[in-house]
Amino acid sequence: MRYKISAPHPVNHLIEIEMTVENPSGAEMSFQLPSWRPGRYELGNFARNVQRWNAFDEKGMPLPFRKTGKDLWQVNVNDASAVVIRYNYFAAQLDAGGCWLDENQLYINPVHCMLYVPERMHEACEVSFDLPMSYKLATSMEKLSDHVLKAQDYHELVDSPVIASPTLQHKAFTSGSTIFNIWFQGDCKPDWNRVVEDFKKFSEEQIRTMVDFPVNEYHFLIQILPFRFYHGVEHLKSTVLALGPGSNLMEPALYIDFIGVASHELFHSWNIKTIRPAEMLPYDYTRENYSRLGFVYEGVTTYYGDLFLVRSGVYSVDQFFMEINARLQKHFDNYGRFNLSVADSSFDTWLDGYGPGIPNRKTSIYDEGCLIALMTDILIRTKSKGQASLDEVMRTLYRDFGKRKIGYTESDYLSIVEKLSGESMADFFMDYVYGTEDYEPLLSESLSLAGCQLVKRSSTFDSEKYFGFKTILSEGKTIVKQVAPRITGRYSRTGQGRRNYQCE
Amino acid sequence: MKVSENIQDLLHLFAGEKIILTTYSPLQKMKDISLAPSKQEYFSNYFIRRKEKASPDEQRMFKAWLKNDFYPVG
Ligand SMILES: [Zn+2]
Repeated sequence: MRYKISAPHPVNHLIEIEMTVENPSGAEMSFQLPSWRPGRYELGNFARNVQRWNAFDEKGMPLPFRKTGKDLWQVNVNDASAVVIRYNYFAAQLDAGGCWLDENQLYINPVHCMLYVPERMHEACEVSFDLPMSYKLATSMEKLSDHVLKAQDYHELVDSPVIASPTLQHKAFTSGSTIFNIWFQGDCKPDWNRVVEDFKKFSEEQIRTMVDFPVNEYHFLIQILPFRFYHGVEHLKSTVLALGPGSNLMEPALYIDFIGVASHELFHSWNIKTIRPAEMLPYDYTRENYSRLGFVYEGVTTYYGDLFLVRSGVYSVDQFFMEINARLQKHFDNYGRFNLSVADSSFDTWLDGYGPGIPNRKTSIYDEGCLIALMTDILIRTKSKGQASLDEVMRTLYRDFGKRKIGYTESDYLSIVEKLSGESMADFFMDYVYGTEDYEPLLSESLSLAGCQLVKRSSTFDSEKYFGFKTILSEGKTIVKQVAPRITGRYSRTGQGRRNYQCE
Repeated sequence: MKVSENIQDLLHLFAGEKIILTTYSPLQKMKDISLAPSKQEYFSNYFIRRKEKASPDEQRMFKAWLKNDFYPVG
C-alpha cells in the first residue's frame, strides 16, 4: 500500500493524498476511512473532512465509483493493474488527536485521513511526503529516508501520528534498553534539563513496575498552542500532547498538567495499546467498539499516571492528593453517580462520553474509574496482607494477555483481582463498578487503612449547602450551573442483589 | 431586591424565610421560583489528608502504596 502526501497550498488547510493499490483482485474494490479513532470512544466521522475523492487506473484514466456507506467507497476496477485514489482532507483541527496544516507544519493523525482496503489491512504501508527539505519528521514510524516512512500494516500506520515541520525541537534519553524522544512543535522554551530529568524519572518508575516496556523506542510529540489547553492521545510507540500557552510551559500550573498527561499517556502504551479488552482486539474502525472496561483502560491509567509521579518523586504527596482531590470533588458533585455505573458509562462513551450530557445521567471512566482503581489497590493490599497490589494485577494482564496478544474480558479482570486478593471481590464489583452504591464509606475506610482521612466539609455557599444549586457569575449575571436532584428513595437491594437509588 | 452578584448574601440574610426569585428562563420569559432550604446538605467539599496519628501498619501501607515516608523527612 503506498500513500503520497503533499500540501501545495497550506493556507487552505487541504492535504492532498494519493493512495496506490497494486494488483487489485475482483471487479470491485472497497476503500474505507475510519469512523473513529482509538483513544476517543465515540464516532468521529472523519469522512466529513474529505472534500474531493476520485479513482483512476494505472494510466490515469478515471474509474467509476460510488459511496456505499458514509465513509466507504466502492470502485469499479475493470481491468486495471493498479487503482489510484486521489482525495484531499481538510486539516484544521489542532489538538492531540486531529490533523492540521498551515505554513509552519503538516500534522497528521493517519487514522483521520488514510484510506484502507478492508481485506488488505495486513499489508505494509509506505508513506512519502512531498515537503520542503527543511522539514523534519517526528514520528514513531520507520524512516526509509528523510521524507519516506513505513508501517508494518494499516494498524501501525493509523497508530502513528506525524509532525512535519522545520522548527521541531528535539531531545532524547535512554532508559534501560528503551530510547525516549521528546519533540516540541510551536513557540516555547523548555527547560530541557528539568523536562528530561522528570520524564526519565516517571518512565523508569513505570518500567520498573511493569518489568519491561512494550517497544524499543517511544516518542512524546508535543504540540504547543498559544492558548490555555492540555490534552493527550495515546499510541503504542508515541503520544501526542497538546499544551498551551507555550509561554507558560514551565510555570507550575501548566507544568504539572504537562507532566501529568505525559505520564498518563505513557502508561497507555501498556494499558490499552498492549493490554486490550477482547472486544477491541483488533480495533474495528468502522463502528462503535462497545466495552464496559473503561474503568480499567482509562480509570486505572488515570490513577497510575499520577501514582507513578509521586512514587518517582516528580510529584510531592500533597500534589498527588490534589490530583485525587480533583477526582473526588467531581465524583461527589455529580449526582449521576446514583444513576449510571462506571461500567455502563463506559459502554455509553459512544453515546455522549465526552460532553457534560444531560444532568445527572452518567459517571466518568476517568474520575470514577480512578477512584475504583484506588479502592481496588488498597483492598488488594489489605486482603493479601501486603503480598499483592494493583501493580501485580497490571503485570499479570501484561504478561498473560498483552504480551500474548490476547484480549482480556471483564471476568478475566475480576478473577485476577480475586486471585491476588485471596478472596471474593464480587460484592465490590457488583456494588461499585457495575452498581451505583455510594463510594464515600468505602473510600473513607480504604484511605484510613493507608493512614489517610477522607475529609468532608460543608460548602461555604448557602446555595450549594442548603438549596442544592451551584451558580457562577458571568458578565454581572448569576447563572445557575447545576441543580442537585430531589432524592426520593434510599438504597434497597433488589432480587438480583443490585442496589437502586432513585432521583428525579 | 435585585440579584446580581449577591445571591449567597441574600440566601444567608433571609435564611429560614420563604424566598421567591424572579428569573429569566432560557426562552426569555419571567419565571418565579420559590426556594426552601433543605435539612440535607448538598455539594460538600472533599479532600484527602494524612491522619495526625497513623498506626505503624497504616504507615507501612502508606509507604508501600506511595513509596514515600508517612512523615515527610525534614
Ligand atoms: Zn487516557
